Amino acid sequence: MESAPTRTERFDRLFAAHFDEVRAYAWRRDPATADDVAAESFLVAWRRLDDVPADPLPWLIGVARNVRLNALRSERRRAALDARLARTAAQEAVEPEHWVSEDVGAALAALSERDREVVLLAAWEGLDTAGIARALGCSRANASLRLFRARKRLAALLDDPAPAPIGGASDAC
Amino acid sequence: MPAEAVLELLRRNDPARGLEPLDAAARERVRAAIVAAPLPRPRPRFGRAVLVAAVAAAVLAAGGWTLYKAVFAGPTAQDVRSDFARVTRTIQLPPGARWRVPNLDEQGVYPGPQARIIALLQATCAWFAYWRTGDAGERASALSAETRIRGLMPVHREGMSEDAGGFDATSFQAYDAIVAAQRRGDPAPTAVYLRANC
Repeated sequence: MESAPTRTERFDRLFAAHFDEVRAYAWRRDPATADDVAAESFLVAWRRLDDVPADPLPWLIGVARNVRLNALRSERRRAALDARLARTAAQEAVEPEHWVSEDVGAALAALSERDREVVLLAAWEGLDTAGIARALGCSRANASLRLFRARKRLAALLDDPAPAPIGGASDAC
Repeated sequence: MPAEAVLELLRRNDPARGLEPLDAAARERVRAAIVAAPLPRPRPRFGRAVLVAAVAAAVLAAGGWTLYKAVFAGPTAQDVRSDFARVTRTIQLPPGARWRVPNLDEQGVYPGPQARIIALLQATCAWFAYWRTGDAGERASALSAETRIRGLMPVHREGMSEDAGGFDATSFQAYDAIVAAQRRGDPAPTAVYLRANC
């Protein structure tokens, strides 16, 4: 009879299976902090191992997102308090034009931050709507609706790069 | 472009497609450092019978989920909202200011002092704004309140996980610098803070 895996063994499996994906998630958003964000995210996973669900990637992405946003908020506080803030944290958080072809980057930059986040989680992290909902902490229906809208908006922006009114949604997702 | 083609276009433009994995040695260092990190505080060591009795009594008295959540899990969004309601009763805002209920991810991961941090950041915004527009008496009130707020800020010490939350040393230094500027009558750092954070 096989004995139950130890805590370390369970963690090692999680780490082996998903560290690269979490690091890639963080790298896509900010290469400079990717390794730190990935390590910090798995430290959270180690401490909360019993909370990790059967499908762990969306949960891990959600943790990495929170780690990244916490770090950004912390950096923003420091920068603001030092009176040296040139850009908002939201601008710092996403600079897709640095990562992709010029037209795609410009279209992504024209999306609202929330729309961009949803569409990139689907495209780059390969999450389905249930996974996006888990990562962002919103309902599946909300994630589905937001992804649908974001894809349409991005498609329209790619067809017509001129600034177009982009409806801002105020739901929690 | 059809909306269906958008995700495929983004996948072709994935900046991480050529990302090299961390080399094995660095990866192992990360893994080893994590599993060597201390785990959350263990439950107190009771005798087995005492523990069983205590758990059973608690389950009957308070509900198993509440106990599980309190002992094993971090605060949920609902916990943070409840804590926020409690914490805000202990922090004074300037006249005319109102607390804003935090907008939280329902399945988010929150550090223990999240509610207090949110409340203190809101209070900081409110008092900084009050100072900026206030007369001499109101500015004195604001400075006094800002000192009290600083004393309530949870400390995030060097080396602690971001997961722990709190204000680090540089945040305290910078906060102090803004308040010092206010005492000199210099509104510029306050204005920058308000513009960036509030």
